[in-house]
Amino acid sequence: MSEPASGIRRILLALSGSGEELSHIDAAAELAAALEAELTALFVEDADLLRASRLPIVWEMGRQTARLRQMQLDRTARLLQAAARRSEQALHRAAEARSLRYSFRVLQGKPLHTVLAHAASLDLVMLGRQAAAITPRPRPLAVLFDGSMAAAATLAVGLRLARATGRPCQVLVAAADAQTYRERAQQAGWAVGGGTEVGMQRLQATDPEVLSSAANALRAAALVLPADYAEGDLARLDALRSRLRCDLLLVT
Amino acid sequence: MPAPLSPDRLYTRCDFSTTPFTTTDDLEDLAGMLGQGRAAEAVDFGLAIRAEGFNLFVMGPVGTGKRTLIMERVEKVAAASPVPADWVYVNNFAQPHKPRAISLPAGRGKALKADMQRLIEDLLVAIPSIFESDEYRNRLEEIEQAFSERESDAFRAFGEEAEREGIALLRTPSGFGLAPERNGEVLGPEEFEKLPEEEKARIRKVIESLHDRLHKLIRQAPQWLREKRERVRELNQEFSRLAVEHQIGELREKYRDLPAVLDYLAAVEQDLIDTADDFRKPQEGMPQVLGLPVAVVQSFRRYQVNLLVDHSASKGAPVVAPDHPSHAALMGRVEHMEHLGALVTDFTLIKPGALHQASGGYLVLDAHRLLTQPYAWEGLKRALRSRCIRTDSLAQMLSLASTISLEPEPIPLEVKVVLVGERLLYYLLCEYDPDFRELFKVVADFEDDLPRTGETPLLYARLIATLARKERLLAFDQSACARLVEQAAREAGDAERLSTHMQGLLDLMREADFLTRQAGGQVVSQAQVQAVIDARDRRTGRVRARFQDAILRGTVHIETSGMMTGQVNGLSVIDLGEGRFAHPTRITANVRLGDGEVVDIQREVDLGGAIHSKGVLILSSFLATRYASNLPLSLGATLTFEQTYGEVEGDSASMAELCALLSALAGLPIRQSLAVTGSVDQHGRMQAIGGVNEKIEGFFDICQARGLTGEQGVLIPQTNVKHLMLRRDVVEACAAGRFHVWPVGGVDEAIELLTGTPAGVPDAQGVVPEGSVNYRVATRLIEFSTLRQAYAARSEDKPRRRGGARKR
Repeated sequence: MSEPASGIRRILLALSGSGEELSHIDAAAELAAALEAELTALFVEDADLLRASRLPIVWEMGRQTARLRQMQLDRTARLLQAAARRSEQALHRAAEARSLRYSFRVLQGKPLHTVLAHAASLDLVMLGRQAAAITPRPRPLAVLFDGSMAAAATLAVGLRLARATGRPCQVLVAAADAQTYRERAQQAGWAVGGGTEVGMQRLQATDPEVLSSAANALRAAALVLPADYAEGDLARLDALRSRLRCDLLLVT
Repeated sequence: MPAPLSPDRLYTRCDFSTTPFTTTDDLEDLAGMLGQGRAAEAVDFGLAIRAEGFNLFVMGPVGTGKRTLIMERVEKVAAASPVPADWVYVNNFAQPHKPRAISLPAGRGKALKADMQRLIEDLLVAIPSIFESDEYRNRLEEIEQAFSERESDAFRAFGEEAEREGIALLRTPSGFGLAPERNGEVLGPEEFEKLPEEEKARIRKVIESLHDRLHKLIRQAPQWLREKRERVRELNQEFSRLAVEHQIGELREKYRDLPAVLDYLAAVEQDLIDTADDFRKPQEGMPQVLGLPVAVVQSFRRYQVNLLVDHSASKGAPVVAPDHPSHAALMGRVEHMEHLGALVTDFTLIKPGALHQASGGYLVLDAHRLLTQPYAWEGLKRALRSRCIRTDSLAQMLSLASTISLEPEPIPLEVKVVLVGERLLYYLLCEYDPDFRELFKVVADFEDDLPRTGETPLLYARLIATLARKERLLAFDQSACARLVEQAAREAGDAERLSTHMQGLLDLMREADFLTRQAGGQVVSQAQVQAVIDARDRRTGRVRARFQDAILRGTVHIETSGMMTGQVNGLSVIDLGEGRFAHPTRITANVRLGDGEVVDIQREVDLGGAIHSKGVLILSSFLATRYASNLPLSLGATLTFEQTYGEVEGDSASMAELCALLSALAGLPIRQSLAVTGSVDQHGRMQAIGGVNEKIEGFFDICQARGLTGEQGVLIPQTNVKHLMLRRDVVEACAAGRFHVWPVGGVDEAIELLTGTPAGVPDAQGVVPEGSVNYRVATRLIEFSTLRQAYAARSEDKPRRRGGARKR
C-alpha cells in the first residue's frame, strides 16, 4: 500500500450510539477521503450504560418525548446493537460513495478508554463533534502547540489535514508568559516551514475550559491535539470533548 | 273575356341604352348600401348613442349585407374612438382563489407584465447572493451557535449538578438515563444493594428530583427550536427586505400614478419578504426545471401578471366579432392544468373572452349562433345588466365539475353590442324574453328589396361596379348589368322591385366572371350572366325534372289538352333550398245531393294547412251566397288535389277549386290546356298569390314538352301582372302565340275562359241568361234543394206513422 501524501494512513472514528452520530460518519468519511486514509469505526457499547440498565432505580427518559421507561439490560443491549447496525450501514454507504477502505468494530467498555486503547496503531483519532457545522464556509483547523516533541508531530499532521481539506490552520500556542510564547511561536514557525501561512495565537493554559473556549471562538471545524494531552486523565479529555463544538482529533 | 297579356307585360326589361356607360369601369363606386337608408340611419344612431341599453339588433334576411354594413360602420366609429384601458389579473396574496383585476392605461399592462417578469429574474440573482454574503452567514451562525450553546450548556450544567449528587447522566441511543456512581464508575446492582437503606432512599429521591428537572429541560428544547426558527425567519426577512425593497422601489416609482398597481406592488413586496427562502439556491436532489426546483418555479407563478386585455397595439376602440360565441368565448374561462394527478388552476390560467376584448368598444354577434350556444345569451344579458364581466366556469356553475376553481374579481364592462339576425329571432325575443327590449333598444331593419324606379337601376349598376372592383372581378358591360338588374327583379318576385340580397348578386357575378375568364373574355356580358342563370337552373333542377318526368310519362295524370268536367289544372310551388319550382296539380270536384257541405279531402285527412282550409271555406261561402242565398244549399261536394301525398298549404288554388266545383255543378267541361292560379274572396274576386313566375313556367314546361298548341296558357290574378318576370322561352312562346297568360279579375272571367261558355251576367232583375254557367249552376242547386226538400218531407212522415202505430 502506498503512503498517502498526508502521511495519515488510518483514522479511527469513535462511536457509542449516543446522540446524532450519523453526521459524524459522513464527516469522518469526507476527511478520510481527503487524506486518502483508511477509516476504522469503533463502536463502543458503554459499559456504564449496560451496568446501569441492571439497576432497578434507573429509568430512561426519551430525547424527544421526555417519557420515562424502566431501563432493562436486554432492551439497552438491543438498542445499542440497533444503533451499531445503523452506524455500520451509514459507514458502508459513505465509504462506497467515496471508494474508501473502511472497517467497523463493536466493543464493550468505557468509550474513551476503549478508543484510546485502540488508538496506538492508528494515526488519527476522531471523537465526534458536539455541534454540527452550519455553514459551508471553510472553518479553520485549530492545532495545539505546547512546545513538546509530540506537539511538533501534531502540528505537522494538523498542517497536512488543513491542506488536504482546504481549510485554514490556526495554531494555538500554549505559553504562560510572553517570553515562552515568543520562543514557542518561533518553534512552531520552523515546524510549519516557509511558504505556508498559518495563524497563531497565544493560549495561557491548556485546561479543557480554556482550550475549548479558544477553539469555539475560532469556530474551528476540529481541534487537533496530541494523543497524550490528557496524560491518562480521561475525565479531562471527556470534559474537553463535552465543551467543544467541533470534532476532536487526537494524533497518536 | 280578358285578352292574353302582351309579351312586354310578361317581362320588364332593363334598358341602359340612354345611360352613358359601357362597362362597370365607367361607373363610380356606390357609397353606402343600396336601399337600406332606414337601416343605415338606425345603425348610425345606435352606434352613436352612449346610453344604457341602447344596443343594436340588426335584422333582415340572410345575405342582404347586414354584416358588411355593420362592420364598415362600426369600424369607422371605433377608429375615431379612444383606445380603452388594458386589464390584468394578478395574484391576490390574501385570498389566492379571488384574483385581483387591475386596469392600466393602454400599453402599460404589457409593461407591467414585463417588469414583473424582470423583477423575478433579478430577485433570483439578488436574493441568493444576499443570503450568500458573509454578513448573513455570520449572523445566521451566531443564531445557530447561540441556541446550540444554550442547549448544550443546559445539559452540561444538568450533568454537573447530577454529578455533584453522585448521579451520572448517561446518554442512551434514544434518550438519557440517571444512575448512581461512585468514583466515576456507575454502580452495579450488587454494589447498589450493599448500600444502606437510607442511602438508597436518598439516591431514589435525588434521581426522582433530577427526572423532573430533566423532563423540564427536554420539554424546553422544542420551545428553543421554535425561538431559533423565529430568529432565523426574522433574519431572513431583514436580509430579503434589503434585496426586495430596492427592486420594488424602482417599480413603485414607475407606477406611482396608478394606485391599484402600487397596492399590488406593496402586497408583492410583503410576500417576497415573507417567502424569500423560495429564491435561495435549490438543494441537491430536488427536481428542477430550467435550473430551478419545480416547487420554486411553481411558486414564482404567483408574481406573474396575466395580461388579459392588451391594447398596446390598438389604434382605436376594439371591434370584436367572434365566430363562435359560446359562453366561454364570451365570458372568458378559467383553464386547469394537471399537477401530480390533480387538476389545479391559478390566476395565470384565466383566459379572456370576447367581452373582455371588446370592452370599451364594440361586440358584433350573430344572434342565431349566440342563441344556440348553451347559456351564452344568459351570460351576455347578465354582463350587460350588471355592466361587469364575471368569468365563471360553466362546469362550476352547473356543478358538473368539482375541481379547484377561482372567483376572479369582476371586470367593469362598457360595450356596445350589435346582434345581427333574422326578423323572426327579433320578434321571438321581443315576445318571450322580457330583458331583450331593455337591453336592445335600437333596431335596424334591413329591406328585402327596393323599388325599381327612377335611377334605382343605375344605382344597382353602380353597386355591381363596386362589388366587381372590391372582389377583383372583370368589368360587367351594360347588357350584363341590365340582365343582373332583371334577375334582381326576378329574385324579388316583382317586376317593380329589386332584391337587396347582396350575397346572391355577388355569387352570380363571381360565377359569371369565372365563365368569362374560362372563355378568355375580358368583360362580362349578358350572355355569361344568362349562362350562369341557366346553369344554376340545371344544377338545381333534379327534383323538378323528376316531377316533370312523372307527368310526362303519365304516372301523374295531368291533361294539357281536351275537356274534362269537374277537373282543372292548379299550380303548386315547391321550395327547395337554393331555388323553387312549380308543377301542375290536378284538382277535381264531385257534386251530389247533400246538406250544403263542401268537403275538402285534404283537410279531412289532415293534409291541408290552415290557409288552404280557409280558402275552401271562402269558396263554399261564395257558392252559397251567390247561388243559394234564399234557399237551402243542398249540395254535397268533395274537392281534392289528385295524386298529392304531402301537405297542401296556401290558398293559391282556391280559384281553381271553385272553377272545378262550378264545372261539376254546371256539367260544363273545362279546357285542360289551361291552368289556373289565384285565390278567391267571398265575392268571387281573384286575389294575388306568390310564385307566379314559377307557376307559369311550371305549366309551360309540361306543355312545351308535349308540344305547344297555341291553346295552352295560364290564368293568373290581374294583381299579379306586375310581378311577372318570366323566363325568356316563355315570353318568346307567348309572343309567337303558342302560349298565353291571361290576367283574370274574378271567377266569372275565369270560368268563361275555362269552359268557353259565358259566365252569365245577371240582368236588372237578377236573372242570368239561360245556358250560361251561372244559370246552369243555379239551376242545379235549385234541383238539389227541391230534391232535398222532397226527401226531408218523406223522412218526416215516416217516423210519425211508426210512432202512431205504437200508440195504438
